[in-house]
Amino acid sequence: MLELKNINKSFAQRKILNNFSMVVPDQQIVSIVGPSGAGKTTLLRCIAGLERPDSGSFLLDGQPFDPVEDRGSERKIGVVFQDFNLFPNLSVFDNIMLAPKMVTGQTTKQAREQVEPLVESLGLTRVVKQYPFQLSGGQKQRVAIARALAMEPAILCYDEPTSALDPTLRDMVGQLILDLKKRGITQIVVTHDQQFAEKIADQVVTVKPLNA
Amino acid sequence: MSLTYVNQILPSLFSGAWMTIRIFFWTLVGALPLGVLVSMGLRSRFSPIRWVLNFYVWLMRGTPLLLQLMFVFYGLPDVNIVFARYPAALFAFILNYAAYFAEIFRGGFAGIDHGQYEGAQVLGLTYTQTLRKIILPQVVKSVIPAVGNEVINLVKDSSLVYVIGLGDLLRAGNVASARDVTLVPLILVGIIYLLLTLVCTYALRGLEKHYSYYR
Ligand SMILES: Nc1ncnc2c1ncn2[C@@H]1O[C@H](COP(=O)(O)OP(=O)(O)OP(=O)(O)O)[C@@H](O)[C@H]1O
Ligand SMILES: [Mg+2]
Repeated sequence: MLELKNINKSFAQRKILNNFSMVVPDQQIVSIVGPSGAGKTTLLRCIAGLERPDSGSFLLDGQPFDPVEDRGSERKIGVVFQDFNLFPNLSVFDNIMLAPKMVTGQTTKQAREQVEPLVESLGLTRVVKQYPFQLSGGQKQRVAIARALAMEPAILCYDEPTSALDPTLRDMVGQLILDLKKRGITQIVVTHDQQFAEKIADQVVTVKPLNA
Repeated sequence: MSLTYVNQILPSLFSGAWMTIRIFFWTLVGALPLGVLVSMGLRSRFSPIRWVLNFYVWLMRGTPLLLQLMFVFYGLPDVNIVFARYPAALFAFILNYAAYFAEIFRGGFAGIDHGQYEGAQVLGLTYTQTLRKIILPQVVKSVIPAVGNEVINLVKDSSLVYVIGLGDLLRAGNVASARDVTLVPLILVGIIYLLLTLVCTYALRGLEKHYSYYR
């Protein structure tokens, strides 16, 4: 369970998050919605440790937790970025294998045993040897999900997982997120699509723009 | 152009060419890594480092290489830094070329999407691992054409070492040409330079092709 308490964040004196609090229970899907510019991505970046909040605290399973210090093999938060940020110089397989090998120090064989079922369950078996530039948007997204899951994060975060997809693919990623929930994965999904949020989430949190 | 005459001067041209190739080779070996380091320093958060390195790049690119060679060989002994001819040439060439390479690499680093660093960070990779596995390979790919231009320039720039009395290819041709009062040695010198740049061009094409497996 992840708890956010009174998170504040400003950019150049402009307040984006004001005393924001929420709770993400284990094995649930929490969706964060709100209009463009409301601060959804900023909130996600704070949770992922890519942005340091001005004040506020995080608790993970009741323990104080600093996302910015969330490093190495003990890293708790996984992220699927809006534009995926796949590594273009690495094949699909190496994109997914890189962190298990470099960060957790597994041998190639160990990492392969862990990664192969993941690759298969995400329907990526046929494209493992390809490079990101050869993939469709939906495939890239599933690679990004596999890459994050390979590190077995406590919580997986998505920024606008539907933005790059057409309607059929949107339903597919919705289904995938629900499948991952069944496998016990806790997820935070940022989206501006209220309908999508209500369809997948156990809890919908709204971020409102602050008028500074 | 009598064949016996050509045969007679070729050995001296080849030994000059060997000097040219040595300077070319060791300059690349020294200047490429140094250029990478300087380019990283140019992006440092610590502003005095940036200031010093920008000054160095400005100095190296803002004055003629010929002048730098003369300065290293004839000027530095005044402050008790004495180089023999060959090390002096390498010293000046490496410092000069590293500055050009640094600017090229700086552009290469700047062209990498910040998302690549963040993608690596959220996977738990350290900064060094990120550089080695993700950033540098992409930078190298992106700078090959610009570095290639400098490499071709270097083949020809190496002829400047005549100013400190080193016997390179051009000088060997010059000597023969003045002694025998004929242009033949200079024509041969031109041909040898063309062959050297041809080899470089093919090597660079090969490198570009090697990196073409992704976009
Ligand atoms: N690094 C930054 N520096 C300055 N301002 C920023 C920075 N990042 C975000 N902002 C500002 O913070 C506000 C919230 O941005 P954010 O990206 O979090 O919104 P969002 O809810 O994700 O919007 P969208 O639905 O368009 O993605 C915006 O006004 C944006 O301009
Ligand atoms: Mg956003």
